[in-house]
Amino acid sequence: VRNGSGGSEVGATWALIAAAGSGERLGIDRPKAFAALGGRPLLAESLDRLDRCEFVDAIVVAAPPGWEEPAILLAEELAASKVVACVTGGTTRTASVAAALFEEGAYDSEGNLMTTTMATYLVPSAAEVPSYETDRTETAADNPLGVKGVGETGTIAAAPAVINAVVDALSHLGVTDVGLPATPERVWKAIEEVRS
Amino acid sequence: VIPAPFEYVVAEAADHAIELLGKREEAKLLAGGHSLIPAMKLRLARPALLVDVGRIADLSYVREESDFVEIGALTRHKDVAASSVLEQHCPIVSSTAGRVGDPQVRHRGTIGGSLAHGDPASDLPSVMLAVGANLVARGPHGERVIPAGEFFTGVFETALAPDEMLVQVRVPKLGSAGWSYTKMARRAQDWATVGVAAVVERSNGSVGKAAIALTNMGATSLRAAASEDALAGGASVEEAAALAADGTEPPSDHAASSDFRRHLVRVLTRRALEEAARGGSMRDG
Repeated sequence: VRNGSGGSEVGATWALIAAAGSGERLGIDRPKAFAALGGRPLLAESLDRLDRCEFVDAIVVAAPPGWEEPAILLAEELAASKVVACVTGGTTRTASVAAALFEEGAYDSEGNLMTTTMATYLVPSAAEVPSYETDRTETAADNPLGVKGVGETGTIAAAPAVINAVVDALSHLGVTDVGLPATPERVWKAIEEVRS
Repeated sequence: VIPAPFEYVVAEAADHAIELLGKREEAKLLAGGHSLIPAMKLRLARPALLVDVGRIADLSYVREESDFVEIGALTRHKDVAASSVLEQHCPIVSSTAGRVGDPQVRHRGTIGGSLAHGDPASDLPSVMLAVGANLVARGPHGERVIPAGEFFTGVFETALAPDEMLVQVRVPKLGSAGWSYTKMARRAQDWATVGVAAVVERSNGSVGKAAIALTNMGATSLRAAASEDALAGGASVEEAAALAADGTEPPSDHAASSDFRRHLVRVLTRRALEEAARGGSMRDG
């Protein structure tokens, strides 16, 4: 959009509500954005405030898989007219994919952290996140207490899935492992090592 | 994250900007600000005076001349990318401008600002070398034309004098020449890890003479002389591409080691030459 005075361009301000977290640690029967607080869902609080905020032009809600419809119904109920879209989120899985392919705390030989800015500590944008399908496995907890971790399961599972996919793609060359994150250079080196 | 203190003046016209540059040491021109401002925030650049040329409207244009196209130095990347004149006569320039950074950068950054910044990781300097562009600099005593091959002198250094301003870029019409700018970057908006610009004369689908320029393979964008000589001597694309890293001293940084860059430049040069031989387009490595 153009502003009235100098003809220079100014952007519209969009708000993204990251409401896709599962909230497993809360131990309730629904995602945390839909947990009740003071008689209404947490998400209602954010929607209400952003809709009334004069600096926000439009709102996008990222909802957990299967909860897009309830999110839209809630926006309608609140008459939050700025809501333009509800998308399916997956923040923990995306972050985990990022760990497998991009994010790295790299140190030099003297122990200085080299990745100190967002130009060097790479966070993937929409263009880099691969498409994925989610599924579940049922595996007995083979330890004395019979216990399992239940929080942030997406984070735990997705990184090995991505690395296994990379290794699978290279297995015909004899590659059996690729370090984390699997940067183009690490993939190249893994191939060069089995060749030499 | 916070820049060192600086003064700020808005220039009303190019000559006003040049006058201001001549009055102060450590003065820098500010155009789109998408290279200089980050450098200032990291305190890699510490200009005492910023001369804002971003409001000089008459330096934003694309004009067709007889055998070349003139681009005003303050033309934004998105306007270069959308130019039908360039798409018709020098499409490697418009295509590459459409792939600089991300949409935010392309809507603020200018072609002149990018070239005058002299960043060896920028895409457009290589394209200027490959097409054989001429860069017009204006100073207190008038204008002079600097061939692209003499413009880039070091990391963030150019042939511009402290009181000169880049006002125009002249790119030749490519006619039937094939072209490609092929780059690899970690993410869509990142600087090229390595990039290759190629403009080739084609005969029956094979490559005859070629101008090849490399991004992020040394202190400046540079020509792949060994590959060019091999092609002129009748070598195949594969043979020529295998020589692309000869004579280069690529950097080692967080994005890639110099060894990986030498590998990449051979692969990307082959892809760029193949692409150019087919006609021309733009691709990611």
